[in-house]
Amino acid sequence: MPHVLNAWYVAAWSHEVTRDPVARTICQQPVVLYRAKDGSAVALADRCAHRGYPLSAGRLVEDSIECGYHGFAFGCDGVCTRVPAQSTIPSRSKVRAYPLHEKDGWVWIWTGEAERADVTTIPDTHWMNDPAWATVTHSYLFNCRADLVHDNLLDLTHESFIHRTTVGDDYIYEHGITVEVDGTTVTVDRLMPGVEAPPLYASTMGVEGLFDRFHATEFAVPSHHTLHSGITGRGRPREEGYLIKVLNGITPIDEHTCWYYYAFCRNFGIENSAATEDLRIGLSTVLDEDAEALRLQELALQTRPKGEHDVLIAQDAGVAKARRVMSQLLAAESVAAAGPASGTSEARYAASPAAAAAAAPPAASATASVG
Amino acid sequence: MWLLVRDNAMTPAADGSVTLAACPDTADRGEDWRWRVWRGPPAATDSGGEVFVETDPDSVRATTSFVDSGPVTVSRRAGEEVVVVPLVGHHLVADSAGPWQRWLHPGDAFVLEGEESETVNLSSAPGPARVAIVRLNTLNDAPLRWVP
Repeated sequence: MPHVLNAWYVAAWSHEVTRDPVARTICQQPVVLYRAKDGSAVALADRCAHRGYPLSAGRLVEDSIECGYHGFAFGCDGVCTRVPAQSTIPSRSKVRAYPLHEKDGWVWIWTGEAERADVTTIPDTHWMNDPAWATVTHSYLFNCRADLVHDNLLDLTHESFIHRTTVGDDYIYEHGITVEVDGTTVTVDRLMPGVEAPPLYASTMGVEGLFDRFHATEFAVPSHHTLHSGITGRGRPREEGYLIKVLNGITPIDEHTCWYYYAFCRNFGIENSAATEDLRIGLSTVLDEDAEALRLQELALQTRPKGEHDVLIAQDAGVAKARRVMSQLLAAESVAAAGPASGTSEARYAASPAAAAAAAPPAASATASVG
Repeated sequence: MWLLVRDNAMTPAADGSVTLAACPDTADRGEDWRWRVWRGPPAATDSGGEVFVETDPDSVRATTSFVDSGPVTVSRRAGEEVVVVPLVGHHLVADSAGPWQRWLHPGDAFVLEGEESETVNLSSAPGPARVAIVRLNTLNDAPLRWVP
C-alpha cells in the first residue's frame, strides 16, 4: 500500500527528540531522530550505509550518530564523518537526511523529494502554544491503516455509536453535513442547533441548557485534521462560543499501522487543572474506543474479498472526496516517478484519474445541452 | 447534504470538459449510474460556457434554468437533487435557515440533496451574472440520493 511521500507528517513530539536517538518508522521508512548540540532536531535514515545496522541502536558523538556495530559515524546532513578502520571515507558512505521542522510542540518530517519541502504548507497548530488555550495531548499507535483514521475523523456520526457515553448522541447523525473540497483540503461541517453540550465537556464548560453545537473536520490531505468544534448560544456566531480545536496528526507506519498524534485545545476553563485532568482521562477513553473500533475494522478488511466495496451514502461524501484527493496525490507521484503521462481523467465521473480504467459507458443516456 | 467543490479540485478530461458533479461520483464501486453535469471547454464568449446534463433516461429527469439577476430563493423538494453552477460573476449562496453562506465562483459546483425539502438564497455580486440551476428528479418512487 503506497503512501503520499511529498508531504509533511508529524514524526514526534518535540520533547521526544533528545540526545538519545529514537527510532520511528514513517511511511515504511525507518528513521532515527535526535537533537544536535545546538538543539536542532535531526532525522536520518535509520540504516547504516556500511552494513545496514540501525543507527538508532548507536550513540551520539558530538553532532554525529555513531553506528553501534562497526563505528561508522554520520553527521546531521547524513554524510559520513568517520570510518574507524581507515582515514579515507568512501564517497558513497552517507545516509538520507530528511527535512524537519519543529512547530508548536510537534516535529514534522518531509518524506518526499527534499527540494519540494515547503514549511509554509505545514498546518496551523498554534493553539497548542497559545496561552489563551489549554491543551490535553495523547499519542497512540493505532493498529489500522491510516486511511481508516481519516475516514473516522471525516464521518463523526460514529460518535453516536462508538462514543455514546462520552461525546456521542443520536442527534449527531440526525443533522446534515456540508462538505467542501478546496484544492487538497476536504472539510465536513455539521451544525446541530438547539442541543445539549456533550457530557464530557459540559461540566468543564459549566453550562446547562440548549446550545448550537458544531464540528467541522478540516482534512489537509494526506496527514492532518483540524477539528473545529464547540458550542455557542442559539443563533450566535461560533467564534463567541466555547471553542475546541482538536489537532490530529496521522502518520502512516506501514500498511496496517499508524501513529496518531492528538492535541485537544480549549478556550474555556483554561486555569482549571482538575478539568484538564478529567479531560485527559475522558479523551483517552474516546481514543481507546476509536483504537479498538479501527483495529477490528482493519482485521475485517484484511479478509474482505477483492472486488467487495464499501457501500457509501451521501453522509460519506467527505470520506469519499478525501479518498479521491488521496488517490490523485498518489497517482501524481506515481506518474512523476514513471515519466510523462496525460494526467487527465475519464469524463463521466467527478475528476478521478483512478476511475478512468474502471469506467464503462451506460447502455442508454439522455443528454441535454444548455447554456 | 450539501457539497461544494471548488474549481481547483476538479481535473479536466482530455477534451477540456470538466465534470462538475455526478451520481455516483465514481465508477470505482460499481454503483448504478444516474447522472452527471459537466461544462464544455472554456468558451470564447461572455456566456460562461455551456452546461451539459446527461442522465439515465429510465430513472432520472433533468431540467435546467438560469438566473441572470438576483436575489432568488432556490427551493429543493424532498428527494430532489439540485446542482448550482455559477457561469458568470460571483454569487453568494446562503442557508435560509442558518448562518452558513459561501461565495461561488465560475468553475465551482454546489450540490444540494436530501430527503427533506429546503431552501437557499442566492444573490449576485454587482456586475454581469449568470447561474445555471440543474434540477434532477427521480422517475421512480424512491427519493434520489447522491452517491459518493
